[in-house]
Amino acid sequence: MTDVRLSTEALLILVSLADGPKHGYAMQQDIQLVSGRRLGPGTLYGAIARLEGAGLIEAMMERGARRPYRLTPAGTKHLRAELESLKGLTQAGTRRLAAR
Amino acid sequence: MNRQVLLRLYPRAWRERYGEELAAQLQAQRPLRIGIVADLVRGALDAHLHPLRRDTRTMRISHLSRGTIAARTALVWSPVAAVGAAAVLVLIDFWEGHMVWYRLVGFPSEGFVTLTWFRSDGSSWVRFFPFDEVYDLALHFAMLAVALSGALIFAAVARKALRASEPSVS
Repeated sequence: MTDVRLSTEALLILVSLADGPKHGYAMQQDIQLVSGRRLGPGTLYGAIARLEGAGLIEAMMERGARRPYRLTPAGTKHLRAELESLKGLTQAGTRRLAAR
Repeated sequence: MNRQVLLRLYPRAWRERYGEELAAQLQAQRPLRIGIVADLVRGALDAHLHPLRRDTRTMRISHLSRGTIAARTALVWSPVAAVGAAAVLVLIDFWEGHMVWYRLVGFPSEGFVTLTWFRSDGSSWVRFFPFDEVYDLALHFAMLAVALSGALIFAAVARKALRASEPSVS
């Protein structure tokens, strides 16, 4: 698996693609719905380019204005690992806060 | 602002790969707010700093050297930086009451520049422009021209150095 450190934007894109392929605009809408954060088009496509370059997502069409993207097997594996890590972090943080 | 102009800020390889999609996204952004424009400018800078290169199957992040990336960035952004620097100099100059540049190139004399245009029917059109204002205008255009020339020379040198060091990168 490629050793890639994910930015928050990249993680949001991977989460958005976890339930199926989406094109850029659909990702933008979905991310806003899930996280309340609206990614600008420059930020969105910058992150898409990096994820595609790292082999974590792939385009389903050669060309087109509404080209859908999907997770690759490496992307799915990476997202799982990232979410597990976040889960551990969340649990540790919650435990420590409860102990105060 | 024209959306195509914003897209032109991105590297050509990037536009070939994602330009059509980004253009469609921008069409959906109405009105084009200043936050989106800033996001695109930042994205374009990022795209220059992390160039794409076509491999056999897909576009992948290239492994260009830091020097090549720096040269490419300088090549593309130096004219923008020059215009920005010239604008700042003009602002400083206005703030200081033109004293900065007058000391360097001389103070304007008093008087007027006369512009006369004779029409075919025998009448004429005459305008008087205060000399010091025309002098200021010419001075600021000269500053801009010097800044742009410097940037273009810098870009040309960077381009030459880039071609000499890594001829395979186009």
